[in-house]
Amino acid sequence: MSLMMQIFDIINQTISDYKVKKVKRVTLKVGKMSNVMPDSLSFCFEVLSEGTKCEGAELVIQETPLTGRCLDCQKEFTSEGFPLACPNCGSRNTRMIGGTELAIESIEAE
Amino acid sequence: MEIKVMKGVYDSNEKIAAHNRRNFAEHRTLAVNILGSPGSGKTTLLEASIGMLKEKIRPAVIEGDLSTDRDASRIAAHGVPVIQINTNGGCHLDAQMIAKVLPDFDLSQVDLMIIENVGNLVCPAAFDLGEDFKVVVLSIAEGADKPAKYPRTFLEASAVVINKIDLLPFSDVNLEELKRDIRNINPDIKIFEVSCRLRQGLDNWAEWLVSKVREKQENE
Ligand SMILES: [Zn+2]
Repeated sequence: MSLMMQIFDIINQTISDYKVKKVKRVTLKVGKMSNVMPDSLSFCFEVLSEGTKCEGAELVIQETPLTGRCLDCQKEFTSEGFPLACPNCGSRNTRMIGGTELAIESIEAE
Repeated sequence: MEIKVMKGVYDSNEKIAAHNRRNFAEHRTLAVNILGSPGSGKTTLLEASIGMLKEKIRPAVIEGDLSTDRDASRIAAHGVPVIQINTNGGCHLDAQMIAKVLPDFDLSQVDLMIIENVGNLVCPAAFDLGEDFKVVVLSIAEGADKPAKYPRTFLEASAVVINKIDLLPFSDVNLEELKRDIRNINPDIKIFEVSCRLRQGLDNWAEWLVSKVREKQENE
């Protein structure tokens, strides 16, 4: 729940800058490896938006893939899971570069 | 109208974490953030190793807890500075909570700040506290599926303490497979096998922490 409270802090700060009347849609970017459950995000959003400018707004969750970079051939790639093996050269000498993010991408408002 | 926000939910936490990190660096204090499920034995591990640590360095502890201060008094009994942070039901510590209590310590007298996070493997991994590194405590009693379920947690940790290895004969956990699963996620992770009950493996773990403290003292 506290994660969603932080999300609302950012939403409220943003909409006060833009003098928004009503929020229609909030788009989040959620990394596949962020440990965050989309279902629980939606639930928390609904509960916390009650009685606010976000009430009834749609929460869109864009899942971003697990991505890695090969330290041998420098290729970037996406992976379904671990271990991160380079699809180009097969190396396991890789580092994760994306997939844990949790960000507010955009707000559709009137 | 469409407002592009592009703000990470953790951005403000990370700012405060950077502030904590500077504070630790100034005093050459090594900060370690300890994560683990409830019952993994985080507090027991600290209690069991604090005597060994005290012989060589000056440790202090921040205890994150949902409500009671039982864990803090267990640590305080060992004669080290300890402060309890009560999260009032919050499932993780954040950088601001740490920033608030740091002035209550005399960091110039602390070589190692051990931060025991709230018992949970999900959220704490995402919140940087300004620590030098994270350690996951995982007990054999929890079964073998934790790395697969919480890859991020293992990815972000520098070490795993596999606790309660005395339970291996009574469990269906295959230790080698568990270690392989962990290394598949994070090839560089350091793994310790420990039984607090039988006092096995504790010296390796304590010595490693001491060596990390020395490293930081030499490099800062
Ligand atoms: Zn490659």
